[in-house]
Amino acid sequence: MTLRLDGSVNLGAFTLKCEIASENEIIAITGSNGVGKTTLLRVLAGLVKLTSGALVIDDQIIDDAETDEFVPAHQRNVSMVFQNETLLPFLTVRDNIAFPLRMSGVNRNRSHEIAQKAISSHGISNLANLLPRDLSGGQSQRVALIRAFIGAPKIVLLDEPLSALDENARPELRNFLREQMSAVAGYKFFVTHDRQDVEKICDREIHLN
Amino acid sequence: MTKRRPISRPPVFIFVGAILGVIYICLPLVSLLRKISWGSLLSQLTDGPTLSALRLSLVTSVAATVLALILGLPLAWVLARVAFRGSYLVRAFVMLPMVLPPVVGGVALLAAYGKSNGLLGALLFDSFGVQLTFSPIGVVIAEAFVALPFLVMAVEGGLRAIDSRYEELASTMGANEAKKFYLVTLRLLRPSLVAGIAVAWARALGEFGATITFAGNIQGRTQTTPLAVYLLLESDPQAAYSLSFVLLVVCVLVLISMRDRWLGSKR
Amino acid sequence: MQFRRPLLAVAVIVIALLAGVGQGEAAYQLGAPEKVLQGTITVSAASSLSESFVEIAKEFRKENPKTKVRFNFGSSSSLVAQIQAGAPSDVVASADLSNIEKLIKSGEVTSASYTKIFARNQMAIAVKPGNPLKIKTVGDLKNVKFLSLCGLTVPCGQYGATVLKLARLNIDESKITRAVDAKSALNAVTIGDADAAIVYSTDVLSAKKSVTLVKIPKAFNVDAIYGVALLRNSANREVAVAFINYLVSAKGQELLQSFGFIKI
Repeated sequence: MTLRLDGSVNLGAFTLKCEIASENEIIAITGSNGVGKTTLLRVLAGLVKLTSGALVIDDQIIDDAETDEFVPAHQRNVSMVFQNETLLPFLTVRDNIAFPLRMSGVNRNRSHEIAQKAISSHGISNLANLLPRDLSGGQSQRVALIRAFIGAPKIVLLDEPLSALDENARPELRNFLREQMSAVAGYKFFVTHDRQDVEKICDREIHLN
Repeated sequence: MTKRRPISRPPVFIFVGAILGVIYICLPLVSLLRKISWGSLLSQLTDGPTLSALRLSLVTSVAATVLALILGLPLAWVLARVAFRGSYLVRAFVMLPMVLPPVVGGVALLAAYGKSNGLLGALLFDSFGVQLTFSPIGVVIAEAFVALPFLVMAVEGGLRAIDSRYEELASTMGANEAKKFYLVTLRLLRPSLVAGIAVAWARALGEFGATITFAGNIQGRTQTTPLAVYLLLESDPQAAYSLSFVLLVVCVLVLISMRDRWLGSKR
Repeated sequence: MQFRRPLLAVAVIVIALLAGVGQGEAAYQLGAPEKVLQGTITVSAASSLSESFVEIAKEFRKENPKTKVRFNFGSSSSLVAQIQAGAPSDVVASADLSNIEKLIKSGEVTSASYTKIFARNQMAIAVKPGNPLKIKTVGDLKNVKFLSLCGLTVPCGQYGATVLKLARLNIDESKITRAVDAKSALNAVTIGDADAAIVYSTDVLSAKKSVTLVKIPKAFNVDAIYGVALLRNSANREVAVAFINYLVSAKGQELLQSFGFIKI
């Protein structure tokens, strides 16, 4: 299994040039602010098109600037957790977690079942019927992370998911992340500023500058 | 963005200004209530011409709002999300009916859709025998003309205010363009859409100048409630007050039912 | 409707005029020094007087350069409503005498000496240029798709109704579009899609080439009698009175007739 990204994105202000080859490992992406870490994730997610070069996953062309081939975001089996605005504000916690399942065709009852199971096993049943605006920052991130792994995604993209949590809450979630990510047979990219994340979770580091 | 916590005591000068604002608006409305002879209210309202004016207003204002939606939603979408040269010009033109005196709007509508001299209207009449003026359709056209900008403004504002990250999130969760629009965009747009529809409908309901100029004032066919009130003022002022009262009540009910959604953000 | 009433109104006013003979403002008595008229007056006038009054005001100003006449044009009945509600005005000129009567009754007009008949008008039919529907008489109006008339509560609407009644023509309400005043009624033909309008012949004449005039024979026509009066709350009685006198003077009458009004 390989993921090969060799290209650049011209975003007006700067150009991101990247060459990554990945094989079932958890890759940390580090670098100072503004260098393009989030842009890299967005390219992998399919939210941004390459302006040159190509992204090939498992020998399938996902994004090719020369031939204009492009697989849109909703067709990539990707799951992404942003730093904020990471839950749909008008859905309950349970519905938010069930959303990716519903989009992939699982019926309502079954997807609620699966979501509820995940909610209970993480001990947040008390939050199941709440709306995102009633959750704290840390709680929202937890829910988002649960959702991130629910549909068996092939590409997992995390953009500083733990930075909203306070230091004490992080270790527990780090374990959770490491477990979940190891279980995913796919490509996992983790943007972070926290050295602990890099050391405790990731297999490899890519430093952008 | 940190949400502002509402306070209970405003500074004095702001408080005084606000009170004056409330009085300015409420005094004429309350004074109108005083003029109504409650005993004859029902009989005045169930009078033939009055009933047909009310019925016509109801039907045409709803139809006009639907027309404004059909034309305005795509327009608002393009203005909010598509970058093209001259978009500011398009927006200015679309907003024109809001600032134009309604009678001028009516004259412009005649120039376009009038059967005798209208650019398109003459063609329609000569080819298909279709006359838009002096008909209920003409009323709908006139009302939609003045209501459209309000809808476009509300929806464009609402679309711009939607955080694109929610839509991107939906994409990464597997929602295709259609599902993204129906499940996420429309849902997030709902407060602005509702407010836009309510304001557009109210504007259509109250329209006078463009209606009387383009669709004329034919009792039973194009005499809407505002036109009826205007004519009644001279012949039967009491009936005019009663009819005005009905319009007032309807609008108040609609506005109250919108409550906080008018603000555009959920509370 | 009320066309026996003008005779009564005329009688009332003629008597009032006669009673008022001899009374006059101090400035007009022989021997008094020639006062220079100055100031602004507001004249509320029927919309059918728009063009003629503007012209008359110009000539009036030439003779009294320190004066200014401001106009408030509208249907006579809406003007009366405004005046009764307190709108500040010095002179009112109405397309019928019943509206002047209303103001006498409600007390805004008190001076009989400055209440005068100053013009007469008749109705005419306005049709699209070239008369495409070939309307020759009032009776032909029954073939018209949409007829434009004034609202029944304004003088020109009442006159129009009388014309139809005299011609024994019954036109269904669903074919009549009612305008708020004579000018808008005419506009429905000039820029709108109405096929014909019954308005004052002076209005049809002012519209010149944008409409064609079809005469209404005397048997079906009415005599619209225009009255002018000084308003009690006038802020500038002298100029107001001078304007009223100018209207009935030879010069004023000449100007009115040049617009199609008939000699009183």
